[in-house]
Amino acid sequence: MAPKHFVALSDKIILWFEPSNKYIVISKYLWEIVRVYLDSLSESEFLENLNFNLNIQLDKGKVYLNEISEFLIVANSEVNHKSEVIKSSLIPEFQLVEYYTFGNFSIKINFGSEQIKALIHPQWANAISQIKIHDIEDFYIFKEDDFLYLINNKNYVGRFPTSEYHLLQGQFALQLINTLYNKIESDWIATFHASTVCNNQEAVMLIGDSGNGKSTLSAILMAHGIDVLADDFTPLSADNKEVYRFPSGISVKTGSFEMLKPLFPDFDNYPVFKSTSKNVNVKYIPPLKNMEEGPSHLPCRKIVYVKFDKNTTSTIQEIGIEKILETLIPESWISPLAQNSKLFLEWLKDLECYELNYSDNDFAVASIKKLFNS
Amino acid sequence: MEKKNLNNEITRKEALQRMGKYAALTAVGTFLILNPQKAQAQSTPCDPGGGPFGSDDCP
Repeated sequence: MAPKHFVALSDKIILWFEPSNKYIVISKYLWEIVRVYLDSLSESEFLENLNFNLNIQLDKGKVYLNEISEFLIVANSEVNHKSEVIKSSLIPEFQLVEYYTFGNFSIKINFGSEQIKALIHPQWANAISQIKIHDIEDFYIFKEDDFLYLINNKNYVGRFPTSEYHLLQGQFALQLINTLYNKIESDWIATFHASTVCNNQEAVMLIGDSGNGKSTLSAILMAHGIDVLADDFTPLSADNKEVYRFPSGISVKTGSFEMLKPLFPDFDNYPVFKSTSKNVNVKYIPPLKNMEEGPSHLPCRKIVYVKFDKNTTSTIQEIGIEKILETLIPESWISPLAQNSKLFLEWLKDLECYELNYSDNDFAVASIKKLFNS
Repeated sequence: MEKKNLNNEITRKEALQRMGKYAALTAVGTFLILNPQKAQAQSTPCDPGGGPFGSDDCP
């Protein structure tokens, strides 16, 4: 019933439970009580130890006993990891074929329809190549019945209910970073729902709730010469605990077009795509540096919770890790493997956490630049 | 009335669980429970306006 790993971060303890892949944040005092529970061989021993070690009376102890045992049941509830076995679907004939180049790597994507292409292509449009190369990584993406299929070099990767197309997009993103960096899923600690900017020495991760303006801020930073390592999808590798470049375009929504237009001379020339959500148009701003020009991976020890609010006074301050974890963990895929979870907790130990509330772009740019020099 | 409130609470808890985080407030203290995503994902799972394959796509 005990957590497989735990780590003390400032005044909190973070516990990780292997069966559920849940992270649980508790106070140091509560952790003391939970430890007494875990170390006790019987209920009566727990109640005695509570009284003896922490001076907690029997009636309170009984309440704690029920609550802790309930909590441990939740924390240890197994996640269903069963992988689906599918009889290989026939790969249909493809009319829509595109080639994309990332530094020394090229891939070919065979799309089942224009609709399917619209799910993947827009964010990679900047990497499109006119050269038809043979013997390269070959992806097939198509819809059959109510499922979206992803096949890589004739190997079945997965199928996703049509309504969960964001999982197809995520799985494609994973396959792409695996290809670019010669890795497999278990080589990654996490793929964070975060944008990451960098200089040549280090990376700074930007997180925030949906609509907080992570991508818009990334675009603003890029217009000021800052390299965007990843937009919206930041992979963290297990072998060096570094974040890796995800060379997609930066997605910006209609609401920010007017503000961004003066910052990018070619802004009007970037094509407008209909977002996967119906009422929003998006543009993808090509990254400042491609795979060969910028560092492909860097250490990241600073993480910033960003929030744009046109009526706020711009401020940046150091914050506790709890707020960062509340946003970062539920929005991200974190490897359920015990060794990777341990690395994730180790990575957290070195993090400096900040909160940036801004209405003034220049303030935001100056604040992030200052973090690189601190 | 009481039953209605209870139902509302359950719905709220379920909603928070779906968001991947919820705080269990107990006499012994607060457990902040954080669930990572089970798979890699990109973009908004499903906006109220509907998905690319029609409005029925939204759960």
